[in-house]
Amino acid sequence: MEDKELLKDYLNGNEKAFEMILDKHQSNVIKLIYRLSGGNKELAMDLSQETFLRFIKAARDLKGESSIGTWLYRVAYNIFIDYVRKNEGEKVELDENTVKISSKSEKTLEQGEIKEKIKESLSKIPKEQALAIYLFYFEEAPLKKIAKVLNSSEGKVKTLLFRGRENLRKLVL
Amino acid sequence: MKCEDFDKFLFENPKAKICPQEFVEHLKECENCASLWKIQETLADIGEDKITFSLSPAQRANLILRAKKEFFLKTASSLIEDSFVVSLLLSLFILGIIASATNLSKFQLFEKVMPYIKLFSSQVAPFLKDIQAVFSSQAGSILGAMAVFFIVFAFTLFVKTLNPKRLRPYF
Ligand SMILES: [Zn+2]
Repeated sequence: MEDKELLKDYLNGNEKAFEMILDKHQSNVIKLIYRLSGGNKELAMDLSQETFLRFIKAARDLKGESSIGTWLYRVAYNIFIDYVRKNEGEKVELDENTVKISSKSEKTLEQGEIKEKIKESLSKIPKEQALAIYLFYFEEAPLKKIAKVLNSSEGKVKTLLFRGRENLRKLVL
Repeated sequence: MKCEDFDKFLFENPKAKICPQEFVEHLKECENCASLWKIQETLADIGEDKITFSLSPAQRANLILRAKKEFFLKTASSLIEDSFVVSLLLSLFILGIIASATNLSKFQLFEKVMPYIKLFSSQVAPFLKDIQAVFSSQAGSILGAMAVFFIVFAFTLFVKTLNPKRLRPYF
């Protein structure tokens, strides 16, 4: 069933519709935070619950929203950012100027090792870049959708992807 | 030129796992493109990990309960809002009738109608007399008007909750 119909059913008092929305989107929301946090499953589940609570509160204002999935990604991302700000305080985020080039050369790293390093490094690069990388490479989201999640333009998303990829390269290889 | 072309290829094919023949030679010479390829190839690889997550049963149950509560609260408030407006209009209408009936009594019209009402029901007639008595004083009118409003309000709420399907959806 389409998101719009599910939302309409939910707002009309169909309890099952909310469960369907939850079951349809929960994995994607948890996975997003799981990846952005560098693999913290418990945090991902807690913040996802928070995301769906926001959905419950905001449901009536979402009629104009083209996709619940996009909205949930945006809210989950914002909740994650708030969490990081509160809990990591002054910790300076890496950017292209501060990322240290890894001493290991590509040849000494095995594919499995690179994979693990990339997963870990996603939590170390600037969050917007990590989000763009996540959606583009893992969720195969088109630039347009990523731009909507980030409330930004496709051009900006391209820049984020470019910088994110560059930062990952510096951290991993 | 090759570097630009390769970068374009990467952006257009985020899921590519095989390097096109035309770039194979270039990757051997260009360390920059080779490392970008490695990163992207691995990202595509991670993207293929089909892990799925779900909230714990307790978290899920909590969310469903919260959704129900929120729905109930929103429905209840819209029900009360609706009933308030309806009963306000209805009681104004009823009070209007009472007011005109009281006025009519000045012209003895009330008394003229009374025999017919008595014919219809001997119990209603004294009741109407009582209402007329209440509304003849100012304090009585205010109290009476309030009583009418609350009776109508309670009645409207009751009728509206009889058939929940006809309730206004909460948005
Ligand atoms: Zn090159």
